Amino acid sequence: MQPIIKIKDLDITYNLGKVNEYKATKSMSMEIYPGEFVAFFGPSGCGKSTLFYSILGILEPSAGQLLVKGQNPYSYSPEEMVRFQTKVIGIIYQAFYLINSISVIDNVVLPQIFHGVNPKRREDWARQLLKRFGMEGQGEKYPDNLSGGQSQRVSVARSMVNNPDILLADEPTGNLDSVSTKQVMTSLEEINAVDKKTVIMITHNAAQLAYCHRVFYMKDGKLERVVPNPDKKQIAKVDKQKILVTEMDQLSKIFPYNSPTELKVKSLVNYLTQDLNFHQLQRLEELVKHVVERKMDKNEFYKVLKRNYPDGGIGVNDALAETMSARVDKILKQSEDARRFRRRFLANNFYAREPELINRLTKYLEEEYGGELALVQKKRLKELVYNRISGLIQREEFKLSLRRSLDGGGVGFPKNISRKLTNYFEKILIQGSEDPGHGH
Amino acid sequence: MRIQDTLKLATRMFRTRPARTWLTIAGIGVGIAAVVILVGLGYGLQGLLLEKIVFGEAMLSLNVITPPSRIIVINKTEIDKFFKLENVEDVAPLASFTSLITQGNLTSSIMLNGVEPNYFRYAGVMPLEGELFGEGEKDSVVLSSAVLKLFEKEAADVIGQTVSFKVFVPALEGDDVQEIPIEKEYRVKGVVEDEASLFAYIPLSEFSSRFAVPFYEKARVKVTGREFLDSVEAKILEFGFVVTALSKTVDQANKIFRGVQVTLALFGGIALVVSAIGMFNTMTVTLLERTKEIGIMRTIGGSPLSIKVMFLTESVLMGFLGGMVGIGIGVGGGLSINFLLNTIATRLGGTSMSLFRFPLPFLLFIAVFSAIMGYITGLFPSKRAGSLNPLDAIRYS
Repeated sequence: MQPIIKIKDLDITYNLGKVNEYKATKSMSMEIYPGEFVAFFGPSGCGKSTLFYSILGILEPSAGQLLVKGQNPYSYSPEEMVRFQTKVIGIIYQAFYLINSISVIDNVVLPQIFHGVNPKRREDWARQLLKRFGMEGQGEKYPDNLSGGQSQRVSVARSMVNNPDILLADEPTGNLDSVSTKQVMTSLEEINAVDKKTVIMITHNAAQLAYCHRVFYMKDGKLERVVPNPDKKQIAKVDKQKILVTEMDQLSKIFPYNSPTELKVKSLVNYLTQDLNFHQLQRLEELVKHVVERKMDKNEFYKVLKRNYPDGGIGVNDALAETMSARVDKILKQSEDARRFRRRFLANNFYAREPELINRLTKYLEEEYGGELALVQKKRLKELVYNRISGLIQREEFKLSLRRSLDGGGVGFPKNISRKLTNYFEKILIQGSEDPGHGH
Repeated sequence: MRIQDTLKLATRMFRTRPARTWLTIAGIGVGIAAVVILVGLGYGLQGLLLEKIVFGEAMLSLNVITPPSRIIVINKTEIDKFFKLENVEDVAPLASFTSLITQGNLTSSIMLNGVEPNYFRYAGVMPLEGELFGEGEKDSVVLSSAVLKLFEKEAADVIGQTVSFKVFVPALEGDDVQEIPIEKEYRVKGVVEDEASLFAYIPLSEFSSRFAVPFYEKARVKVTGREFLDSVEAKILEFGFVVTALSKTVDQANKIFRGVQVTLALFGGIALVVSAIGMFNTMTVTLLERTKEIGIMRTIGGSPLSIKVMFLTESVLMGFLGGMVGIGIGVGGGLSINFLLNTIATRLGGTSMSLFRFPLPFLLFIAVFSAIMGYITGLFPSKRAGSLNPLDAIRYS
């Protein structure tokens, strides 16, 4: 099969021959096959948009070969270029780029207006397209009255109006909410699968890589690696022996922004610190999410933990499942008191001490400690718990005060106990917190 | 692109930037209005003047004059010759002699012209006061207004009064002058306007019945159609006479007024240039504002030509609408001034007249011209719009 786009040793240079000359891509080579859905993925400035504009025919490469359907678009006459940009390529932009001064239907047919297509025919066709992309009956509106998702669907309809072979999408969901993102991605997937169009998408969103056959990872103007999606039936010829599907493929999906070395590091650290592999961890996270959202009780959590991995479980042994579910349950229950305290505390203008809740929270720490405490220790622990939960002291100070000797005004716990109790109390606090966190 | 699509895209400006678009159109409108009103004034003045001197039969007559050297003179035989020329309908001679005019106890020297009544029509003579004499009236005289000044009288006082003449008839050869008193009183019937020369008209028969008229001063030769003026003139010139034609004078006047109109149009043109610069500015700003849009259009299949045509259409449309507005303001303004002046004039006892005239071909020309002006103004911005680099355009913000 002949590639629909063939790029070989392509250099694209901005301001060629000037002082501020800048090479945006360096000897890039790739082949994209008809009917493929591929993504250009990488940080900003990696040259993906540059390559994109070059394929669109508005940025001439400075060296190398660029062939679209076997021809170099930059050898075209202006008329052929216009034909190329209508019949061969359709384009979707991140910012939609609709013309606000004409109606939605006119936006969709604009490419055909330039070609003098019969008004009746083009409008019928545009209405079909609008209907297909869920914008039926909105044709008479103006784009400034549309939401982002609606605008992008109009833009998708516009890109399909001339039935092009290749669809270029420049971060098509960059400006959209999650619902609209889903709709637009589904449309793209359908255009690829049903209409058999080649779709090339630029994206920052790792979740969207799952829609693609292959992902072209780019960095600093270079193509770093091409990763086929093991979940999709490949169109490009992929040598099975040459490409070994490893944990790397899975990790690159979870951590799309990390380099291969970083992924190898993650793999080893996981091996050293955790008994569960990345597949299990991923599923466990989904499970715990249900528990945290109180959609799953302790018992059910325990069962899924114990169930074998192929059957949708995690596959841990009975004892571990028991411990894990019990600990999670305990933390969540105890955290309720922390939550109550924070609520009342905030509602009562910071003056309420709520002694009953503080007593209970202190008792949880005593239980976790397991030993007997002197009266003065109890009193000081209670004081620390209050100070920590009402935000008077930080985690570090809490830990140090636990460790400090009784004479020095502390609780007098050994070092490891202090650390253990601090960690434990922090877990209660995070579960009981309604604060979104200040790191955002 | 189809024409209706081009128009649809070009009229977006009324939706996107209504205020700016209409202000630009109004600017051009004012410029065009200045031209329209000034040239309209030119047409008005021309019309007024020509109305005064143009009379149907006067336009068809040639004025044949005995040359001052008197090598050849207009006499009976020559007049018969004129009659026999092809396409000549009538000949009305004028005999003119130095005379003494007596009114009451005042006597003065004037030129006494003997004419037949049809001469008045061919020469376009119109009475200022009273009437001209007609066929068969033998006792009437028409005076020039200069004669009234001489007698220090008003027209109303003179009309109906009587005057008498003594004529000095030169001999055909030699310097002898024969003095012929006309023992008859003539009643003043009318006054013609001429403040500069002293003369009076009496019926020609009053001369011919008393003495043989040696020669005629001038003759009016009336031709059957305007197209024959030149051929008849040429033939009379061959005889050796001096010939002038009123139609020639009218042509001359028209030429002068064309000059006047061009001058007035140039003055209006200054306003027009200013508004054209304003429109150019608008188009340039529009271009900047649309840069991104042009980039988008270029990447979805708009050719450079389509973009160019879109811009040009817009400026031609603006120019044309400006022309329409200008014609509206100009014609409306001119007619209003006319109406105002006429109201005042009639109230003060004058006659109404049209000072502004707007011939239809002139207005059509202005309409076409304003569209052409829009086209020229749009040339540069549209060329730039068409030649924008799509990548730069789409990244422009």
